[in-house]
Amino acid sequence: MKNRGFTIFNYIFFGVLAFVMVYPFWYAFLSSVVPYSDLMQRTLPIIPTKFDFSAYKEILVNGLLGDAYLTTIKSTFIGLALSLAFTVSGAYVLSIEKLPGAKIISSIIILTMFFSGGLIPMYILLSDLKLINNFWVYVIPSLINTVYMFIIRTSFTDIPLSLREAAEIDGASECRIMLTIYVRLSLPTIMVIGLFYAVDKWNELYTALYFIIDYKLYTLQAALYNLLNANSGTGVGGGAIKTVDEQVKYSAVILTILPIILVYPFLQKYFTKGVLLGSVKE
Amino acid sequence: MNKIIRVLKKYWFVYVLAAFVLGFYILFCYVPMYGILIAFKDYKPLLGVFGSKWVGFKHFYEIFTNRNLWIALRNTLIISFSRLVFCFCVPMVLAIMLNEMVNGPVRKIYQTLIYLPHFISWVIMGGIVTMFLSPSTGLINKLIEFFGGEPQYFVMKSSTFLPVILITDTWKNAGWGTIIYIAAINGVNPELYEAAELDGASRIRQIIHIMIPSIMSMISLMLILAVASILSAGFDQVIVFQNNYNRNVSAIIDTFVYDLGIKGAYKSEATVVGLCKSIISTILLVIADRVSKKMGQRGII
Amino acid sequence: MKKILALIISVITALTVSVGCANGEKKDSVMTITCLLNGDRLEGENLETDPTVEYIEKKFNVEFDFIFEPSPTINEVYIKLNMMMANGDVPDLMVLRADQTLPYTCMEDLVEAGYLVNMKEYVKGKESEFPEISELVNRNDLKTYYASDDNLYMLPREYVYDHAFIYRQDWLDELGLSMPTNETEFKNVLKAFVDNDPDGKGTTGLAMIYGFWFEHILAGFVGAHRFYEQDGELRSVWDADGERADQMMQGLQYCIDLYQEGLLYSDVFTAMQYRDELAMFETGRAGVVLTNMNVTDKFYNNLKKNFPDAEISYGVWSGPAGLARVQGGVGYYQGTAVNAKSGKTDRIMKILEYLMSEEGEELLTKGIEGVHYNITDGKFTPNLDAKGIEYYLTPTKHLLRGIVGGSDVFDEYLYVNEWAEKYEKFYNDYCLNSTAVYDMTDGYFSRLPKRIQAQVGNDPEINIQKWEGYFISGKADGRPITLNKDTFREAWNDLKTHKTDVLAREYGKLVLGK
Repeated sequence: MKNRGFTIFNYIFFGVLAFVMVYPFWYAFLSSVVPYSDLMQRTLPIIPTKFDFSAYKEILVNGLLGDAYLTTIKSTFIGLALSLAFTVSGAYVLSIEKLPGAKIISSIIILTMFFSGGLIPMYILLSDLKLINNFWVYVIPSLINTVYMFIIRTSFTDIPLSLREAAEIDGASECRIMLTIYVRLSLPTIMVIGLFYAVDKWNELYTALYFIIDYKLYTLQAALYNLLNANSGTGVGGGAIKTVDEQVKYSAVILTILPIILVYPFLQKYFTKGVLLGSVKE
Repeated sequence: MNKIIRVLKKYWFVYVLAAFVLGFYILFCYVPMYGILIAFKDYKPLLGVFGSKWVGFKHFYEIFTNRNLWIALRNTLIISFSRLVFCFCVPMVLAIMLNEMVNGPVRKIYQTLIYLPHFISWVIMGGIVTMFLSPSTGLINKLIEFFGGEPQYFVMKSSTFLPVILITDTWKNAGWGTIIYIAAINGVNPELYEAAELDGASRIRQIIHIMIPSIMSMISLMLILAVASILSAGFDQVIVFQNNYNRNVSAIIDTFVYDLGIKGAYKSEATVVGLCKSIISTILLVIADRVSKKMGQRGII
Repeated sequence: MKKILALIISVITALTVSVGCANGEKKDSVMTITCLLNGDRLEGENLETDPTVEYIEKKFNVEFDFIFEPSPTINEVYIKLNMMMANGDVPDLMVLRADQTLPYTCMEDLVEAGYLVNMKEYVKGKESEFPEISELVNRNDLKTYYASDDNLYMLPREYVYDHAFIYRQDWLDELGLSMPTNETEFKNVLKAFVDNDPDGKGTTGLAMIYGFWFEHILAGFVGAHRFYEQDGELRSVWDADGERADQMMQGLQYCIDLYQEGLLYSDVFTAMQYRDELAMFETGRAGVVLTNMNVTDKFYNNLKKNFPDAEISYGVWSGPAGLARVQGGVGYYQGTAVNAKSGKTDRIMKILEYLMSEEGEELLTKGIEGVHYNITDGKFTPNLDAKGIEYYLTPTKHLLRGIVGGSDVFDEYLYVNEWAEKYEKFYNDYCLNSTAVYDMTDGYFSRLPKRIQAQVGNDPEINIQKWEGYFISGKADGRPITLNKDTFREAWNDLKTHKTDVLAREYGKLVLGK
């Protein structure tokens, strides 16, 4: 029995909210396609009539973004796969209450959330591991995000122990238990974390700035940062790209967001599917 | 001895996984940790951490007698607490409300649209907000003028800093935060709701007594993490909205460190503050964990 | 038997090869020079195939390995340098700065560990081999480039302060006005622009970005800004008890009048977008813009597209205390440092000397004959299709100019542009010869004792700019404020809590040598 009034309110509320949320994105899109002089006048139409894609052309053609796109896509997929593997493993390890040594393991891990040696030792370490200026620096040093791991662990510990006990009686191995019970039942959460990892990798900026020298290995965000923030301190005007500064900035936003917006709706159904039938959750 | 063998036989797979995971943490988190020593040294990059001179607590003394630190600390706490009070619940509430909508294309569209601002960097968000608040061309001031008021110089007032931070944070991040709560809500067995409905419980009671307790573990995890990171007030956001006029309220610990550590090249001082933050955060985490355990949740440790 | 033969042959081969290699190392192997600069990495990509760079590489048998670091706030490239230093990699050639604390500390650390070439020492006795460098290092206005041991470890690169008021000359003509020469005329011109709005887009008169640009206008009233000498000490111009307090108030009042009368870009304090001022000029919403002259090539084409009849001109006016213009110290305090421990020092110094010589300067300002330009019948014709030509078409010239000293040279390339003649005249009249030095303390902050730096904070200008904003906008943190003796004292009291008076005294010790 659903309250009619509330339903109407809900739809309207979210309508307004969605409009407000979309506005900066719509503004960014408008700013990127409107003719430059209109943008400078700060008179943006609600619906654009004249389209000017010169900023996009500048970025994609002059900005050599092709390489950056490829690198980012590669690092996103590979990073996502490896990170999920490690993260789910770690979450599983931490979720077993009875495991001898569990407290030690989790203390070791939690401590790293707050204590850090800083940038310089990391740079030296990566240099020793030959990861500087190397594609794998996007994937390996950031394999596990501890917060994400704890989110999955929380999802694991919500699963009633009775399921585990039943499986143990049946003689299932830990590997089997992990995959058929825990991973399967936590699939929505794991997919969400997968999405989070993917987005993190997609938006990766500082790794490239600090640890990569070769422009061709830049990620998308780093390449855009480079284009937008280039300091002409040594006194060079650079290419024509500088004259479309603001438009380039907004086009950069759109180019980064677009793939995510195109992908997310397809993933949504996994989140809303819910628990697979046939299991019991008390 | 037998017990050990039994344990190993049962859990060997788990220990293998643990080895990989711990290996990662030891290599990439513990090996570089010697960097903390920088806080106790007169660090020179060319001499390295171990070659630099040991100065004990000298940097600590300099930091704690710098009045800018205490101003930054005050501001950090104010901002963090305000965030906890005003912004923490919003994603959760939105997720619950969204869940009430019928599962259809409209709901899917709403769900997608509200997380979009998350992808806009703070720099761009800052530009948009400044335009909104502009005294001559900004929307807000145009409305004020329409109602007969005088245009406000919002950006030049220190009293507007906190509201702007809170509102823009919600605007940008609340939608994205709903994702994790929606997933958690979907993990609740629908039969539980049906059972409660049969017992005559209204929807609201169902939510309060079934849904929220079921996702309480997720909520408490988020809360523990938020409490433990109370000394980080959101550097990326604050640095965008910080300007000459609101510095007395907008200087937070991280911007204080940034000013010292980067602009001032005082790497040792920056490490000192980082170390103190770490220690305090750990203590807060333990406290929050104990409290949450006392309240029936599993906690984090 | 065969085995012994094989052994002998292989030994002989090995010896020949190794001897050949040894000789080859002396003659044929290319020396790689790592060069750390700031700029965008695209520049690095472009430079790798730039004809000018290739010419230099071939001439000296080197290969440049440019390490660029995008550095929007100048400091990022020095964070990178710090990391490299911590890892034991010091570049062979790098650009350092003397005015900001981080790069200055990098320099001090490198000096302490003996990594930097002492420039004066190096050329001593070799003046005939290094005439240009010898002349440069023996100038006596380079104090701000010295390290704390009073030695020169970097070759200053000269960069001329080229700020100017840029006017819409067509508007001036249309309204029958001449270029303003003093503050009253300037205000009248702005008023005329705003009242008559020649392009019909609405206009704010003067467009400029916030920040230290008000110093130009204030310089016309209070002279060399920020600090002055009184009774053997340095005083801040904001000192309510100082000699120049009245002049400062006069200057502030002038800015207040401009703002309150709507002659100044009303969002100047709240706008965050750098480049707004150019946009306003391009779209006819401002008749005057105060900015760097060397961005002319960036906005001029847009301006002409919007208003085909537009003309620009450069000017500056004088206030009671002198030109409304400040001039920076030599070179933005950037200089080139050379790694003394790389084993490549001699060749690098030779390259630098070459780039500073007449031939090298021609190369960096004109390019290569036959590639970037041709001389037909004694007439200079640029080749606008050449690769890398864009470096020569901007007033700041080729990227490698950033490595060597030598002031910007005006040449035939720029005459491709309509604005070139006026630019050159203003440049020669004001930029090269101006004596309105910005600040005798400019570039000294990093030399102050650390405890003073920590007390003052790293942006002593922040609080000064805050009060400028309060007075000029008329609102101090929400409450209305008018400029008078009491409020000026209130400002000074606030600045004193931020140790501006301490700063003045400490600067005095450094600059006046007490």
